[in-house]
Amino acid sequence: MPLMPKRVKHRKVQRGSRKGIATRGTELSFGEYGIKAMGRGWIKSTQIESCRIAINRRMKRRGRLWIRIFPDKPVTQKPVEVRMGKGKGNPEFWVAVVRPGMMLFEVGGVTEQIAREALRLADAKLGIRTRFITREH
Amino acid sequence: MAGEAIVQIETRNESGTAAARRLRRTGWVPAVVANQDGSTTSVKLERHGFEMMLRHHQSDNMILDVALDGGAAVKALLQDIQRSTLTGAVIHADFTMISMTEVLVVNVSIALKGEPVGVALQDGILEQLVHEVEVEGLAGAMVDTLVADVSGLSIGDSVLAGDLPLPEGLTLLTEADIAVATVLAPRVEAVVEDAEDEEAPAAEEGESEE
Repeated sequence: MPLMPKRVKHRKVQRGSRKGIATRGTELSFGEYGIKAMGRGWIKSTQIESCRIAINRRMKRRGRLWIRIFPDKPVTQKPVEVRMGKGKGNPEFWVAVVRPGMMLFEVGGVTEQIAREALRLADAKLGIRTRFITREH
Repeated sequence: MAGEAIVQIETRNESGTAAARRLRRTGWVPAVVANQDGSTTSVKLERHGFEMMLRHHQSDNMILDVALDGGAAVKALLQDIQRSTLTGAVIHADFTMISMTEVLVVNVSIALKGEPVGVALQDGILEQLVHEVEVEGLAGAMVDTLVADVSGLSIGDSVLAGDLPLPEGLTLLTEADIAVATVLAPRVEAVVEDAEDEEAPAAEEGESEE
């Protein structure tokens, strides 16, 4: 099941701002290794899910994964070949707003080499640049 | 923990955001030293050497020898370090002057030693839940790291904060019954993931009009 909120106050929201850098969720809080966003953008729930699958597949059931972002923003689209107007489109997918510095995924219980490979695979599924982070600075 | 390297610091006359940024551009880190009489001194230190020194220590709270303007080295506790969110570079440091007979409260990092039985033989997952504990003791007795031996842990076993081997003179302030590391059972992949897909669109509509 794709990640999405169970219940929302408003079904459709405006695009909002992506300015600035992340001020919260920027440190490793759970695992030993993680990837941090170096760019900004919207990350779709499907991307997060494919990252999760790629990381778990590489870690082969060993270790733990923490997903630090959640797609809580609905994005609407108008159907194809529909003229402008007649109201806002339908919610089509969910995204997480990511600003530079935000910790995206954390893993623990595996060696650094496996963590690097697993998170590299996850990085390949994201549209933004990331950096591998360890607890040792 | 005490007195391995001497950190050279220099008095800084300029203060404020712009001046601090100018300093950082030239390879320095602005810092503050809290003196024992309660006053503070604005100082600066060379970034590269400081970061290299930090790399060789696991804990950020450590006791160092600092020499102000080339004078005699005195003991100071590295109280806090601020890092850049993006690059991880040190952007500010806080020192506190101490005497070695003073009682300090310091966060000490925990290192795990050994491979648990539950991981090696039972495919369990070792998870470190706590990375630092608060200890109290004389400055002279402080250590950089507390080493927890996890080699005897089976699945479901934990090392508690109270089990950590503390050097003589140190007292644990963190609650003793907090689990520091535990070995979890191996995960079993959920097979019924696809069956839940049908319910997903319904969840999307669940708005509350409050």
